[in-house]
Amino acid sequence: MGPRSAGAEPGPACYGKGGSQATVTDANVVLGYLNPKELAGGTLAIDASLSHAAITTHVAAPLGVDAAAAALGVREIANLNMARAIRAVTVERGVDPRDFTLVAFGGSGPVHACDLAAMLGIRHVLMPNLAGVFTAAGMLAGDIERQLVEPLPAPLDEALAPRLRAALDRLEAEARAALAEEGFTADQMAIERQVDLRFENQDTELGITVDGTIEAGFAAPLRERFLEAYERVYEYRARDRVEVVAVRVVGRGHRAGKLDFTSYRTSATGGTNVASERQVMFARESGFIATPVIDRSALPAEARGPLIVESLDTTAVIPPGAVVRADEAGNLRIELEGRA
Amino acid sequence: MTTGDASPFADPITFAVIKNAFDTIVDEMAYNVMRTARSHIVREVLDYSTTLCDRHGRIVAQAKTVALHLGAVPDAIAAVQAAFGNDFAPGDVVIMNDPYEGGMHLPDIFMFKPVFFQDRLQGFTVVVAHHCDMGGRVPGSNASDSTEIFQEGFRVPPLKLYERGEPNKTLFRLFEKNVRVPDLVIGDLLSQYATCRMGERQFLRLFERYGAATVESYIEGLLDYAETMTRREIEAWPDGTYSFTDHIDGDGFSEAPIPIKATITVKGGHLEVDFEGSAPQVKGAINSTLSFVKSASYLSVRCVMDSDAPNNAGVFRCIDVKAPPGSMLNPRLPAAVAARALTGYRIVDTMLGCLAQIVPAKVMAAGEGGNTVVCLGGYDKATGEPFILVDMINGAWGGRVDQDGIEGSPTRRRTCPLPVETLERAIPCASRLATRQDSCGAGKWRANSA
Repeated sequence: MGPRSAGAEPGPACYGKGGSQATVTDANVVLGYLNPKELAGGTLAIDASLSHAAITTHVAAPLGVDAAAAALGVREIANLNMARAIRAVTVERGVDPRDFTLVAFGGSGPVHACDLAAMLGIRHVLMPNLAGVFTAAGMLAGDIERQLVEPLPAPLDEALAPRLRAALDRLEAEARAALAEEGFTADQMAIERQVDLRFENQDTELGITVDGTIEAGFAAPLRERFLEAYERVYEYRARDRVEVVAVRVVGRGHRAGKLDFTSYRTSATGGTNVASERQVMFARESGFIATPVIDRSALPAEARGPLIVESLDTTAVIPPGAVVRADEAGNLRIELEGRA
Repeated sequence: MTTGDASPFADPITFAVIKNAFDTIVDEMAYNVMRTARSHIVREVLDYSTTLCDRHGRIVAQAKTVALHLGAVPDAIAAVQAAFGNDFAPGDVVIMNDPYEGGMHLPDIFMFKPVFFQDRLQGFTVVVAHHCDMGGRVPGSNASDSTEIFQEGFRVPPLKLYERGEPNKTLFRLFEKNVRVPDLVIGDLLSQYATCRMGERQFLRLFERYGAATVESYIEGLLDYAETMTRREIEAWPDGTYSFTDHIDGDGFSEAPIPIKATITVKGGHLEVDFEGSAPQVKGAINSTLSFVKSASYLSVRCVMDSDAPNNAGVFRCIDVKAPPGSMLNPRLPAAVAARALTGYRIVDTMLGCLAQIVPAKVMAAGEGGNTVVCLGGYDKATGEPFILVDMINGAWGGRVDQDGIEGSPTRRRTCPLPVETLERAIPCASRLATRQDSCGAGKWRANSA
């Protein structure tokens, strides 16, 4: 698997642009996850037989397994690598991925997201409306955020109150001024104040949100909140001194007149041929199973996997047992069955 | 799902998935130490290692940490098993550092957490960390001029630091009383503990996902696979006996060169390494336990291997290492051993000297001879508080077979020198980090500046 990518040119074998090496996309075609004839609402024709040939020649035959087993292996290893990357930005930063909803975007995100979630112990997956062009849509629909940080290395104790208060107030004033300059009024602004804390002599800190201003008697409760957060992450408590590393203020400006993409709905077919069926392999044990394929525009308010949801921008893969609900904003919310 | 079949080739894909999962677990453990440790030597110099053993104590996966530690884990865990047999319960944690009972040198504390799945011992999560002080004559407990282990600090045979989840208060109190900076030492012990538990949870998740029979059979398969790959590679080497002798300049008491002699016998996919002919144990603290000699030997062989065989006990099966009892490479009590790292580096040099005769195209020129450990310690004048700082200054690699050596990187291990900014914040002194002009070796492919 990798590290070389087929890129957009020549791309996966099934694009028919001269790529002969098997890609993850080809594996997804072989397994039935992707439409065997066309992607992106018919703007990209694909040839499933080229995927089969590439997987068979380069993966299945050398390993002495059949094409489906090889494709599933390709997919599993790709999933494992992605799960590692998710761990790198959760566990390695001191947060537990199980506390989160996995948000899947990009053309392939919704193709893999439910598998990744299951691997990471995540129960909820959210596939935003326009997931395949998520970043571009988001740019037009987002708020403005300013993050201001000021180093303030010092032991956490009562004597620090005036300095902490001054630093947080200063950053907040700076954040408000910056937001005002961008045209936000005071009632469009939201401010979050944090203190980054760690045990003395450590190298990695946790940001703890402080509510209200820093008053006398602040240190003990703040220390306690740090200990609670630390114990949640690392599962032990230490008795050592706690030190402040930095203060930070997040200023958000809620923009008026943003792009409201909640009313956008995509479709792979323009409303024709909204429901069909194809053979999809979700697990080695169960083999290929007949799986309904439904156009995004025809998805009911609630449906149960196995199910493939096709749209112009992506393909959502809903594994057996998972429940998908389309919310009023056009997002797909998926709840995986089983283990917490 | 395949069950009960030890062949990794029965289902190559699950095999790859489980293999990757093991690698992920040990690497995540390594990050966990970095985030929770207190001392500079652990959290910034990165002198620690994480690994996973199966229920027999065999290494299943090694994190990308200090390989020189990990090759010594088999002897360490054997000492733990000798001390406790099967007397382990969920929640137990065993530590030890005694070089004469499974350890390497006193600052390196091995921590093992037995892992149980459905009431059955299934393995151990392991964290080895170089602690910044273990008491003894000098701050950092790493003097090269000690002459007895008793001068070097606090010796801990295999003991339970936690018993069924309850801390062993006696042992914690003894640490507090025997080291100069108990906050840092106990802080680092807790970091090891938290990491062992974190690794345990992840290890158990595999058992929950695949079932014990499958995981056990894939562990067997993984070890066999590493052994097969290693043997296949060694089979391509010319059979024969090859010797090389290198020297250490002195032991701090005598300036007479101290010989280290390795003889490698290559025979049908198997290596025998014999250090017969090396110096008798010396007065200074550069004697090296046999476990560390094995580790340095495994590392050297690994350096010249092409294959990406997994770093597990299967590789070790292909390499036997021995050294005469009472020699510097297999010392008897009470020889001092604290500065044995230096000897370990020279063992690697000696081994590579041998290997250069076997696979000349794979061996780079001799490098800086290993990094230099600097221990600074004392008492802050203003507060009377003790401070200790252990750093490792890197030299550079020798020229490689087809390119220059790398500068500022240790040849024999994967540690980082402390950033100057950290140093200056940590201790009351100013410092400068620079390479030394013209310290590189000339040649078509140059050694780099140290």
